[in-house]
Amino acid sequence: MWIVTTNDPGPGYYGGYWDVVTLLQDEFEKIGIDLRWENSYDSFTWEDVVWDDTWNQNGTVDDDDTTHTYGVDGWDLAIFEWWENPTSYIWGDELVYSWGTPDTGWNIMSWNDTKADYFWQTGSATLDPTTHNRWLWKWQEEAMHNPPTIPIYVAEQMTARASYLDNWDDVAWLYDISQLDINETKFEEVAPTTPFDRYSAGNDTVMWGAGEPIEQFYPFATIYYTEETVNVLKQGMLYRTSRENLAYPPSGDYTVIPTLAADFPDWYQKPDGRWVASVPLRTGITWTDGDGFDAQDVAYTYQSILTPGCKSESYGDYSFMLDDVVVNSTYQVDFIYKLGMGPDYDFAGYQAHGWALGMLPYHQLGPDYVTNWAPQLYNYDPVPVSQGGTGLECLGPYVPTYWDTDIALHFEKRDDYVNALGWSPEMPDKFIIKIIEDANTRFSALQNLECDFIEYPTAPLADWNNMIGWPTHRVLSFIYPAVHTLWIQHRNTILSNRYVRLALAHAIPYEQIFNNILPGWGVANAIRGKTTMVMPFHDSYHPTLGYYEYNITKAQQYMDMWRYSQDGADHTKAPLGDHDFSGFVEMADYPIWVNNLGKYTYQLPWYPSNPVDPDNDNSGRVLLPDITYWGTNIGKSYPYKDAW
Amino acid sequence: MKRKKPLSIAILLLSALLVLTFSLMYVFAEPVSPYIKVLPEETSDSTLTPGNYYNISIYTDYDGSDVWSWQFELTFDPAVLQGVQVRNGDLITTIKDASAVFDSGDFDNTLGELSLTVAYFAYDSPPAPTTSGPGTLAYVDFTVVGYGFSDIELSDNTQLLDPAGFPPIIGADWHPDQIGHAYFRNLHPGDADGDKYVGSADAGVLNGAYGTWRGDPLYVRESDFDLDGYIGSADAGILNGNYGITFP
Repeated sequence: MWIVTTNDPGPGYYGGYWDVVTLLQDEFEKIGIDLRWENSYDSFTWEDVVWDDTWNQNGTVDDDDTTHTYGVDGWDLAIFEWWENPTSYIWGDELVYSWGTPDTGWNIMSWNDTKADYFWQTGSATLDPTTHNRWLWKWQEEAMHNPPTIPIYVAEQMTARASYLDNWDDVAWLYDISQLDINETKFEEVAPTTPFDRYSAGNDTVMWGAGEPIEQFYPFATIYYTEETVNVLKQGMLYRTSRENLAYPPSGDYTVIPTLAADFPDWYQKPDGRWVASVPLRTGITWTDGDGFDAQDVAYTYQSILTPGCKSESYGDYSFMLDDVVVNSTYQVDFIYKLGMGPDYDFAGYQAHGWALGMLPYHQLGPDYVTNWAPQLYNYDPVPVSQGGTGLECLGPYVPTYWDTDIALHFEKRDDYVNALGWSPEMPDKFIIKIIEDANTRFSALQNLECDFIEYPTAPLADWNNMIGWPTHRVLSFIYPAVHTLWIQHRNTILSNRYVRLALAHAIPYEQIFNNILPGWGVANAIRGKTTMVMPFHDSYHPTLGYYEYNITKAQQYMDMWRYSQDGADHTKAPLGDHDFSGFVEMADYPIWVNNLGKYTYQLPWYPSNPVDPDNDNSGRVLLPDITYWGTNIGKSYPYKDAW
Repeated sequence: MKRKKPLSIAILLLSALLVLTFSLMYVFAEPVSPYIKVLPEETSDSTLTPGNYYNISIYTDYDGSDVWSWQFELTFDPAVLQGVQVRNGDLITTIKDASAVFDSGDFDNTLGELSLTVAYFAYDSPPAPTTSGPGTLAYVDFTVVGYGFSDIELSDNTQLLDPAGFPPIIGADWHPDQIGHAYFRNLHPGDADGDKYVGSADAGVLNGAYGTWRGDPLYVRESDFDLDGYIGSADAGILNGNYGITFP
């Protein structure tokens, strides 16, 4: 079995978590799993293997299980963080609905649990928080029973920023910079002139240290966080995630508030039963070339997303729920849901992110949908045509004015946009993104104030503690809004067995990771991950759901549940009669036997993550005697209740 | 013999006021249709002393014609009730189709559980035989063994199924509001604490729950002597009428 990580030993979306993987190799070996590790890929190549070209392939495709071959072999396990906005579950649906993932989509987690889908959908199709939470709790319970991934931890992360930087929140992130400000008095006091002359750079410029390069400026294919950063600054969205009070220390709750939308949607049902979210838009907002923003831009943007040929990463987020997005009037746009979907509890939160979502200028691109982005000039230049470049016109608070490839991007504030939205006039006039890929160099840049704030603050705890008391910096910890999780290739027929996944969940040495590894990554405190991507600050975080514990004996027993189902094993110890691997022998297992009667085992359907196995006696064929095991065991729970 | 202690004037006055205020009778919360529920939903009968039988039925109001199978589990308080037997109802029977199979679960009278009990039409090639509701899934017979009260609850595994087997027509784990549980007690009127004496302790329980409706966290069903869902003057009257009595 192959775990595929990047060549970056640290944590993060493109981190390889090397120390964790080393531990997993040792622990998984104890339960009979030979975990091979491919860790030589850079982030772009890794992305290709796990997310793109071979995303639906097992780690071993070419029958050579000693070498991982790029372009041929896929992956069985991976480890990386999964960011969630605190106000919604955008990117949740695409993980839940494996059936909703298009050919051009990016769903690496083909978790096929129809029961979970039902809980999720029922919880989403309501505007009532109590109903929403009730079903989301059920969904989390099902995920605990049949793990889609194995979240290891959520980090209370140490970080720091320049002490003169005000009204910045690390979780609301760049999604809310409406009050961002450089405190001029403080700047005069602390801005250094050496080793970096931050003082001369001025108090009207803010500098952000990004950890990843930029591959392209196609707003619909965000690969790196840096590209998301660019999208957020220049593209504009209907809503945004905000903390109600951005002051330091932070107070108030995270919330979604309108940006380009004038208000939250009105919901109504069409005569054919389909739900519609009708969104009013702000007036008086203009693109960088002076053209007015209106409903046509919004409709065109979402219609492009819903057009498979445009290959938007957001296609998987919207295609299963939206039929169309149409102009209602000049400043009113209607989101028409598919029959049976909606109203949508997370509607505004869905429109509040810049990952492959940002308004497209209809007047520049329309009326046709752009299905061949790669050769377009605006895919390689962030500077809009109106500013002398070849890029798309912009609708955000900042406009790119200069790009030094892989080194820096410079932006200038758009006063007309900021004023129209009523944002703070104190927002810095210039925003510079510095691309500093090496984590140690980035940390040094923060210490020297070459950057006022940085991405991926992963220095050791001791280094952060040493900075406490520096007048130049404000050191703090915050709940980093990402789950660091072990990802599972459900198309691997072994991993698709839930008992194997439960075995893995119990073979992870959580405490050892928390105590010995995470402090080196600046994690002040680790919060044990639960079985979904839901995090402690989400309103539907399950309050009483437990955690997986490290227990090799238990892990071995789970592995045995799978082994006993294999040809040549002692089948009498297997979960006989539990044809759908639900863990309970019941009536629902009976039709599975009927529908597969007479089939040889190689003819059985293998639905990702939900294999059915009515061949109870491992004879190689589903026959009449198999149902007797079901009859004998009906009502029994697996693993056996008295096992633990 | 202890002296009969009248309820306080304040409570009596309050009771009179509440009788006027809450003239509407509490409506017992029915499960959402289609449902599976235990009948009778509530039993309060002090004549059901130890040694008597107590019978319930598991019933569904589902009226579709695609019923292929059902399953349920039960829990009860073994200090009050002991399971004796489960009998098939009229929903899935050999009268309807010769392939009908009824398989009773087992009682665990220590834990107070009836394991999975099922009925289905056996078949080995589609289409599966089906039948129509509404009807009774099964009858469950208990022996009364103690004095007190017992919830009788259907488990999350309770389901009514069509031949697909998934998703269920009715599934307790999916829609718990479609499941109706039951309540049994053989406490004497006014004896809220189950000590066979109606006295100050019972009045204390009633006072603590006075004015509450079912669903209120302070509501105590053992003080709702008339089981109307509201603890008020009627219950106070029952307690008052039995105050000081010691039952055998």
